[in-house]
Amino acid sequence: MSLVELDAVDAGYGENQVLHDLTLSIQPGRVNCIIGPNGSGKSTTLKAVCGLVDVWDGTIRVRGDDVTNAHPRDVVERGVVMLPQGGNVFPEMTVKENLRIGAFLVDDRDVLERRYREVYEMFPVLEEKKRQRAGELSGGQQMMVAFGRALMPDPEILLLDEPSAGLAPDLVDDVFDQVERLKERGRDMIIIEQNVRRVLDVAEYVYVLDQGERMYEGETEALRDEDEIMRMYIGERHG
Amino acid sequence: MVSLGLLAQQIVNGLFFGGQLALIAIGLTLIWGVARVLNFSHGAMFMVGGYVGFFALGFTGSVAAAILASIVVVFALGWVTEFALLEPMRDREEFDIASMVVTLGLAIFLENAILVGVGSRRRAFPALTEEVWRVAGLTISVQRFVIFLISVFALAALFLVISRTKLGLAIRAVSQDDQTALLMGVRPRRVYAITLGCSAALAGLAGVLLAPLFTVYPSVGWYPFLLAFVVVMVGGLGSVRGTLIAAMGLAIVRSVSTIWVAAESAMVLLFAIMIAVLLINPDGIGGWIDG
Repeated sequence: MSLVELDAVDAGYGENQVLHDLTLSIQPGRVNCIIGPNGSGKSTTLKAVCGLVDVWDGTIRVRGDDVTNAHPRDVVERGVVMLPQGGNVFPEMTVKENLRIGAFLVDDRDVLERRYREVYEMFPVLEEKKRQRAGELSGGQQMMVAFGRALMPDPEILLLDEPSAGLAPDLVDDVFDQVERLKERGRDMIIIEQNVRRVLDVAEYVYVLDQGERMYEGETEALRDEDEIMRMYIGERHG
Repeated sequence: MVSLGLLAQQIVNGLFFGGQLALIAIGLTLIWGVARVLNFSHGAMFMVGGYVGFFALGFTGSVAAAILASIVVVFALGWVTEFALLEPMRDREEFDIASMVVTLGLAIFLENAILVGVGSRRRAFPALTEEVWRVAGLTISVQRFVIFLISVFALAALFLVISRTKLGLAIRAVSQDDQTALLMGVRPRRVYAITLGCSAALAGLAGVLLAPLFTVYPSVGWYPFLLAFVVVMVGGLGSVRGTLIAAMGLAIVRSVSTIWVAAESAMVLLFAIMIAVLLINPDGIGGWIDG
């Protein structure tokens, strides 16, 4: 069964249709990326899955459950968590409070403590700074808070919306280091990214969108042999 | 020459008044901070709290029941206001302005509904107690002291909820970034409704607590609303800590100034302070203390 499935989805904002009859089937056990030019509907795809964008037609399912136009909370309950562009930590809250709200739907204290331990194990600096306001941390540390917060509900799949957008080059390295670590731990992900070369280094499966339609999908290695796609969407010819 | 005793008396009076003022103003600043609503019906909710308390007291004979009834009914009024009037407009542009107009309309509606329903006659709310204490040369009205204590207790409870509970965490998250909070599983619209309910409940509580001092009549809410508005502007719209400091500070200034001028004229001083603070820092005291 697909982890996330979009079936002939039309979606958009107001009267502006962005996704056109889009069909994607995200399988478990791999890191996926969605690439494409600006305005191709990458972010809208993630937002449609999360319930942030109105789906006009078609169906979205998570592990077979219909979540078309569901409230974002219902999507989170099904194990789909999105890390928004820029991380968007809550600056006035402490690091620990940011992590706590990541697991907003978790009430079991033991489970919460275990999740804190797992996040602190992955990002030890967050434990050192757990009582500090997130807004006072460096950009890199704020990204760690954002990743940690997204991991707190122990999602089945993590949706990363352009995690390196607007970051300084050294922070971009930090972000992809975190993505690599999550991949090593077997975390399923869908990554939307403008930095195509970097994301193709970590992704195992690629979807290429253009004007809200799927133009290509396949294993990352196979994509490298698709000269036309590589030239049109990645801006380079393999070999 | 002003005696130290008189000065101390006015400072104590101001302190007690500050507690009452904070009770009204904190609700006003809270709902702006969380939901970006400058609630012009806050004074009307104060008025409704007074009427509910008045009738509940007449019906049950219990002050505690009157207070509880005011809190519950005005909380519900705030909740309904969010769902029926504000939520349908929330996704529109210029929501800040639209919500001001709608809540002003609600204030006028509630005032006139009461006027038509129960008349314009002032309703005397019996004093909790006429007792006074004399402590170190100061005269302390037990009624004002009790009102002050209840105000402090209510605000402490609110702060505890906001700082220590999951609901408070959701309120703070929504106030900072409602879209990201949504992605965490928080329901911002429910948070707005609860916050407006709590904000209104504080106004309702103030309405019933201050009813023995203000009496109860349809337009009773405008003066406390005006005072709370000045406090919130000085404290910083959305800043709970700034509002608390401003409430206590302005109340003491107002009280002490009445040594020299009439209470009505003291309002001029408060407005002058508000203008001066806003000229120096448009974010008010909150702009300095909240960073």
